[in-house]
Amino acid sequence: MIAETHTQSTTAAPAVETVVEVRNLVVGTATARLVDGVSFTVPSGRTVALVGESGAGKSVSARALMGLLPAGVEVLGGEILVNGRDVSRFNPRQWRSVRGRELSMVFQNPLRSLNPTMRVGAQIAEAVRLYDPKLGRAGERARVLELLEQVRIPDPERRLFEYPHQLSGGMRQRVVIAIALASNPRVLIADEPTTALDVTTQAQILDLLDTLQAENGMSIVLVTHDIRVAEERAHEVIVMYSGRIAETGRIGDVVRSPMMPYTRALIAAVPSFDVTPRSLLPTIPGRPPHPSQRSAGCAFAPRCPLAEARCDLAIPDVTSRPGNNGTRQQWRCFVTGKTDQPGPTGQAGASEEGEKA
Amino acid sequence: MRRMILARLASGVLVLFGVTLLVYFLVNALPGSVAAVMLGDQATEEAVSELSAQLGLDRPVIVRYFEWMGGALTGDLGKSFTSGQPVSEAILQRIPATAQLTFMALVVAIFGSVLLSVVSLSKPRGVIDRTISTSMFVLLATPNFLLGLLLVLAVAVSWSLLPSSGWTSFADDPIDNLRRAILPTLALAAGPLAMYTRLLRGDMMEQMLRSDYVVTARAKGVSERTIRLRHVLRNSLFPLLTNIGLTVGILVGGSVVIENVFGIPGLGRYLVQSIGSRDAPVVLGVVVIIATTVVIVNLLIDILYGVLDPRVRHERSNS
Ligand SMILES: Nc1ncnc2c1ncn2[C@@H]1O[C@H](COP(=O)(O)OP(=O)(O)OP(=O)(O)O)[C@@H](O)[C@H]1O
Ligand code: SF4
Ligand SMILES: [Mg+2]
Repeated sequence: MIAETHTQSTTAAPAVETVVEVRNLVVGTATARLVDGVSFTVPSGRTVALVGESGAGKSVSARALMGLLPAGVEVLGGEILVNGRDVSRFNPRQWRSVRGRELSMVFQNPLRSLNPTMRVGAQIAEAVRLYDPKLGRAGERARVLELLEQVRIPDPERRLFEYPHQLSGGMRQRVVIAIALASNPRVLIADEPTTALDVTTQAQILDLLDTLQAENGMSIVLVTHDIRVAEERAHEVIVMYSGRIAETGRIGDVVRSPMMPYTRALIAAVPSFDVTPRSLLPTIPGRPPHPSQRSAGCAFAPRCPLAEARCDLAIPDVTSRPGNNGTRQQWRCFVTGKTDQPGPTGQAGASEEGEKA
Repeated sequence: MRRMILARLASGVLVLFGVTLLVYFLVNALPGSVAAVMLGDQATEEAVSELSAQLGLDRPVIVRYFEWMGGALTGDLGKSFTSGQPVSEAILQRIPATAQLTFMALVVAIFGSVLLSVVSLSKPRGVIDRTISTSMFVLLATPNFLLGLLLVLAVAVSWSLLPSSGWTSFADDPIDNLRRAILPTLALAAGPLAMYTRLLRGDMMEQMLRSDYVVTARAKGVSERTIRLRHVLRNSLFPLLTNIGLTVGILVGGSVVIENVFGIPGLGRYLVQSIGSRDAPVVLGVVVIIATTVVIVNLLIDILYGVLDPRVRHERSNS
């Protein structure tokens, strides 16, 4: 094994450093809590998938990590610890010291996320210069070429002088990734980086992210609405529903034995998964409530086949059980949540080969 | 690119044809005739019709139009009925003042709007932004002759800072020329300045709020100021360019009014005088010059677009 951070020990749980810790984050507008009390951690060198239906609050959460919330949307409570520092109430100038250096972001639509009238090389160079202003022209150029090679763009010398519209979707997304890598970030946040691309290109881009992680040990927060993508690419998963966390845990544990009924439904909707309580929810009729219209209880209650009267009255507490490799699987549900749940292998704290090796 | 230019030129020719035809009939439809104007109100009807016949005005309008057109196509715009001076010579004498005025006004409007938009957006919806927005709205609602008169009253009459009317050519006395050009330039620039500023500020704001590439730039750690200047302004200049093309006509029309307010011997004043005296060859000559300028400026802007905007540039070179 070359990359230690990637080695998933089969014996003891490896002590994994936490790069980002989100505590009880509330993000909202004047009228709605779009993200409502979300907590999770991003371990160093791992990929954490943020999964959920459209409107679940994935992008709002991801952007909150970068301090890039849209106008009118603000952090209303909680903490975002980046390397131990709470950045959630930073002013714009302080944010600039975090962005790029500690966290970088890749967006959904690679044509729109590049400036259409600026050469590709100049757009990467801008990021390089901000990170290392003393490089000088030649140094900058060398670094830009190096980044283009790192993201596997063929013929980088020529690409420098092209404009975004001259590149294919996949190439553009590679350029966006190169920009994000310019400052050697510890965490790369990718918000549905492949949604706008065709299927073959999607896999290539996700492969590239895996390779880059193996090369430089950065953490990745991968936002996706597709739990299959999470299953293939992530170490850990955060399932969101209507601005709240439904379930978190090691991806293998969650996929193999989902506990929260919403997660079960999400997984059951994918035919290829072998789900434990398999006949539970073949499809999920209905839509999630808009954050401004949630009841006082569990947001999934209107669609949940297991719902009981109490589900409408209060939000269930977190239930936690040990997962593999010293992780914990956590979810909120009155019905499936009981204390002292056995682990997915029937054995508390049991270990198993990693899903992503 | 070449196809585009040819198509634009062809449509320009059609525009010129239509405009001159329309103006020719309008001038001839005006009550009163050039002969009556020249002879004064004491003239007998016989004298008037005799002079009309001498000037060739007794023949049908459409025949005269095509005669005029025949001359114009060979570069002969005819002679003024009233002074006998060749129209092209008279126009050439009056072009410098008008050209200087419209050019200066355009420069003031463009640079002014860039400056005002950038300053406005350093704190969107802040006091400065709101003050600028309101002022632009007021400027837009103020007719330029009224603004001209107000400027004359305040700056020239009350404070005697600058001359209120009259003109010196730049060649004769550059300093005096510029002093005399300031007030009319401002009066002329006000409308376009307000239009461009509203457009530019709106477009820049829209990009700051909604463009993904702005978010990318922020994610890199680029400062808001640099984003405004390096990324957003640059892209908003394209809609501005289009708008400039659309407003040259307005600018030239404005100079007709402003030259009359400030007594500047340019094309605009000449046009108004010749309409008053029903001097058809002069009216047509001036209209042709103005229309040609508008067509050419728009063509230049289209070409400039192709040169500056990489998206258009490649689309065109590929087709
Ligand atoms: N600028 C905004 N102002 C107000 N509400 C917003 C804004 N942006 C997003 N929202 C709301 O926040 C909620 C979460 O949106 P978000 O974009 O995070 O969803 P998502 O999980 O990323 O979904 P998708 O898969 O569609 O990208 C939605 O209900 C959305 O309507
Ligand atoms: S708390 Fe109730 S409504 Fe919510 S998921 Fe559990 S059973 Fe369903
Ligand atoms: Mg999203």
